[in-house]
Amino acid sequence: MQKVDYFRPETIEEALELLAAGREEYKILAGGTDLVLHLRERKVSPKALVDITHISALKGIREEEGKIIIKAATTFTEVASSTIVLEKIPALADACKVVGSPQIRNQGTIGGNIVNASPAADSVPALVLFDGVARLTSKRGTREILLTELLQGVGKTAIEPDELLEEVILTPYPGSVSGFYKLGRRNALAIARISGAVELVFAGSKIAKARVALGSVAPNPFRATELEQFLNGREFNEETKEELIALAKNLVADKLGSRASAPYKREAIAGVMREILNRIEQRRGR
Amino acid sequence: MIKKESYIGKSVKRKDGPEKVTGSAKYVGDLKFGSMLYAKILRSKYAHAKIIRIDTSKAEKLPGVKAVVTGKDFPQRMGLYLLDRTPYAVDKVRYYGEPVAGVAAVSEEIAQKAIELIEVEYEELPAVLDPREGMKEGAPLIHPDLKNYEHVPAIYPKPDTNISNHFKIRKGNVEEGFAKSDYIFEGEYYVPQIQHTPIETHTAIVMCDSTGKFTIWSSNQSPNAVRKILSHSLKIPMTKIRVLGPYCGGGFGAKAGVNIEAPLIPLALKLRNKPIKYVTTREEEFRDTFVRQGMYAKIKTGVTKEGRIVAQELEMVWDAGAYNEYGVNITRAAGYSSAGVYDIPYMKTDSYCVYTNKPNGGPLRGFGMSEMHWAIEQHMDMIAHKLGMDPIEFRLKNIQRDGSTNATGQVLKDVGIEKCILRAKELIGWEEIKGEPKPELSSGKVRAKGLACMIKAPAMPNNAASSAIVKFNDDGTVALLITAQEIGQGAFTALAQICAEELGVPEDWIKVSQPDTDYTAYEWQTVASRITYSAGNAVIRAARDAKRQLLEMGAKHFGVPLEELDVYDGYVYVVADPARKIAVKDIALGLTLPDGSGWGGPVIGKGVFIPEGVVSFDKETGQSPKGVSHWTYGVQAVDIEVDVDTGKIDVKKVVAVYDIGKVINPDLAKAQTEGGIIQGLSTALFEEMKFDEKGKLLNPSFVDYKIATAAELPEMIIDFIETPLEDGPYGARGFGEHVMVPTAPAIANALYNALGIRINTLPLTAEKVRKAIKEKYGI
Repeated sequence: MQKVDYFRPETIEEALELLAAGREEYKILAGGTDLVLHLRERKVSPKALVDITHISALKGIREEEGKIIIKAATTFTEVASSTIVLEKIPALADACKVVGSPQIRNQGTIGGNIVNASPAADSVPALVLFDGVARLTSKRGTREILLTELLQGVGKTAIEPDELLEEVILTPYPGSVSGFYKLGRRNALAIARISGAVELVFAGSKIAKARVALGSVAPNPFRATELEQFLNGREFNEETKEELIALAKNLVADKLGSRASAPYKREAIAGVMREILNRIEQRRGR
Repeated sequence: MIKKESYIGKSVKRKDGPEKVTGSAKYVGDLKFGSMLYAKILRSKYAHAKIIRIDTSKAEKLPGVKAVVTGKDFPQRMGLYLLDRTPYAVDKVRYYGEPVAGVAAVSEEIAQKAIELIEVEYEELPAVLDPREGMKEGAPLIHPDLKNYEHVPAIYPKPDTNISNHFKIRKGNVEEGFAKSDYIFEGEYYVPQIQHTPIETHTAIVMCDSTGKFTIWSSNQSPNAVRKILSHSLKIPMTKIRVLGPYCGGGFGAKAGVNIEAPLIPLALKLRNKPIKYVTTREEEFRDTFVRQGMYAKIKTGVTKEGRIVAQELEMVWDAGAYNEYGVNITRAAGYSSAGVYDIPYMKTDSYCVYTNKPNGGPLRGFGMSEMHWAIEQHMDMIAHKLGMDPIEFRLKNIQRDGSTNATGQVLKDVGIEKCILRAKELIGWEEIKGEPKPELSSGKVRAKGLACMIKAPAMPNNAASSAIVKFNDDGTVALLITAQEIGQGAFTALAQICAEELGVPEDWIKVSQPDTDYTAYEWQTVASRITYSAGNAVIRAARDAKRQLLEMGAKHFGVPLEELDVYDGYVYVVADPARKIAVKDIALGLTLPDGSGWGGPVIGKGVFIPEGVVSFDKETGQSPKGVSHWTYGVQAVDIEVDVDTGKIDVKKVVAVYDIGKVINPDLAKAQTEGGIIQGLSTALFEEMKFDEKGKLLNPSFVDYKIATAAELPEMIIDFIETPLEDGPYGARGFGEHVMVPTAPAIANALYNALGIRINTLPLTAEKVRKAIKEKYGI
């Protein structure tokens, strides 16, 4: 492994100073479950690492006027076990529970998962689902940007080198029920081959509002607006489920085109959607 | 009378447990010596190529580099059964990854840099990647000199071909058998090469001292075999080679025979008094140690309309890789076991070990049985379905029973397979299956059960021997000196139990030695699930020998005949009057007579064992009245759920029932079975070494080569049948590898019972299952 300088700021201000000084030659370390591997494989060669996991202001989850705010350096384990997350946005808990292994979940962070911009990022479909907005801070100021705009392709984001992802702000529909499911090559320590997240608001037997997000079928997780529009106002019954599954298959086929994985994924999406809807069904009763 | 409690059948705690859980246990990787050097190996980037030129001059000049070697430095061939392998490639490379040059340096980093400075010029040759092509006439020859290679008499290489062994069974005239059959069923099955994936990668330290004596510390299953093979190739007496075996972090067969010790030998010869350490990387572990051989099977079976098997013709073509020194015996083992658990009157088997330009095939837990049963057990289920019979009913009509003959014509006795099947049937809650499955697809999930049987014998030379020495310490505690290796299977615990049982001392008085070929008693190898059986018998004899000596001293002490004494709980006592007793510690080093004089001496017992009456197979027919020491039978039944949309198989429950003769330690037998089920499940669902069209391994990492994790654990129900083995210790049969053998075919059979789809190639990936569902149901 190459030699790099290591900084461990304890405040956001210190971190921003370092990032401003380091420009693009410094890299943020937010758990390191991907970055350390990239360093070893020499895919990246920063001059210094700025470890933000000791900044207490970057940790924690809170609820504010219907919004749920998750600080960037909060670990997957912390998110998956948060009462707020489990009650209000269970799809995100589902997603964080199936990241890697317990060791990786104890180490890896939500912020790292976003910034890494992997097509298969486990938590991102669930973050995108709830209209996730990233709050970016630098010495120059602060800005907010939708996650779907922040993510700009495989491994690419709209974050400037001096900017720090401080938190992500989620806006679930009041009274919604949500679920997430990931299909990997095995049950743990596996990259998502397809993942999906659905949020529904029920009005009696009908779906009043719906959000759907998919992962691992495009360069970044995205909102499947076609599926959302279809669901709005429908009865929540077998017929709707089957039609949704058929639409999801078409959507995945469109997204993947002639990629080698397409023949499998455009069929397997059915099982993923079915599992998500089962979870929602179970949660709805509670 | 003293009421004795037995250690046999008790779940005695693991002898190695406290050391391992506290981190006190030392593995080769933990060992460090002053002036130690580190080795790295330059490996071939071609599957098959001539070496035109090797230039090591730049590497030699790098500061910190102490020695550089190539094939020319040590061109002697070595191997366990067929001497076809050199430590480094000589003149040509035969697989992508073969050692071409080695470096010893003061640090791993410098050794690695030096490796990168070595220039090699190759001339690529056409590669053989499919053994079915490789065995054809005119295929490129991987070992043109095969006819000149030394080998044991029990294997039959075919000169001027890529066939390193051809094992034949000719039991009756198979055509006659087919003529007597009402139906003929044919099938083809395939298993890919897979990896053992031990947690500890192969690690060794080799030193040659100034007198020319080698000391080798190695994570290895075969210290005596390593010494023998190296002594032969170095042409030095065995007194000049000492092999030590610290704890071994998982073997599964990968660490049997000589492995990474070999490339360190030429380096050690150049550098006297320098211990040279080599730790294989995970990538090397995947590709450059042993792998399980791939295998293509073709079966043709003749059956009567009542469902009785009359004839079987089986061809197995093994994808054995570049060097077959060990793999030739896997081919042989599958050949002589090729009836599986069935009584088949007419048989013809051809088992071909074929060189390919791929990683070296070698032993992997099961030694050919997993591969062969993948074919046979699916085939039997397929026949049952075609005949409209329940798969268990069909098996019960055809299994071996006392008096049946197997593939080699051996008349069998003490056969426990029927009991295993019936117990497994009960434990899984089998419901009769007849006719084609009619799954309810709309719910998205389909559940079903399946079953598979297995048989295995210890695959070893007829005269594979064990021995043990029991000696006492001053305080009456005991040193049990053996060269069996503790590879996680619990050998030390089982052998200590046996030793304590026979000696009459508490089990925790027994300290089991780790292998040290200079001092511990001979053991052929820790392989073939043979240690409890073979070393166990040697330990019984050694302990009885020691006990006789204790009794002799007791007889002298009490003035009563030896027959009237016994030993229990650390005392020699008079059976009729247990109050008259003397502590073992007071006589273990000799008796002191009332007049103060000494008598006798330190107690040392010795015991040896060779399975008797094992007769070589006939070369042309494979027939023998008793070709192996004994057989162990078992059954696994599974309950699976298949996701119709994703093709994902979820194994919910596995029932395993084995007839192991006598359960020595129930907890360890159960744990061994659990581990095997997981490994079997892993091979069923995930494992496959993938190669590109040039023979380069594409997935030598845990990211790209998936194995099962704790998240795949099914519910496991394990039970044992105890049909005693005549010459087994307390009746115990060999047991250990057997536990992964039937898992994969049982899952495949359950998949058929769920959805009516049969997948003949491992692994049963979600894609393959999905594709088969789509083809069958159009959804």
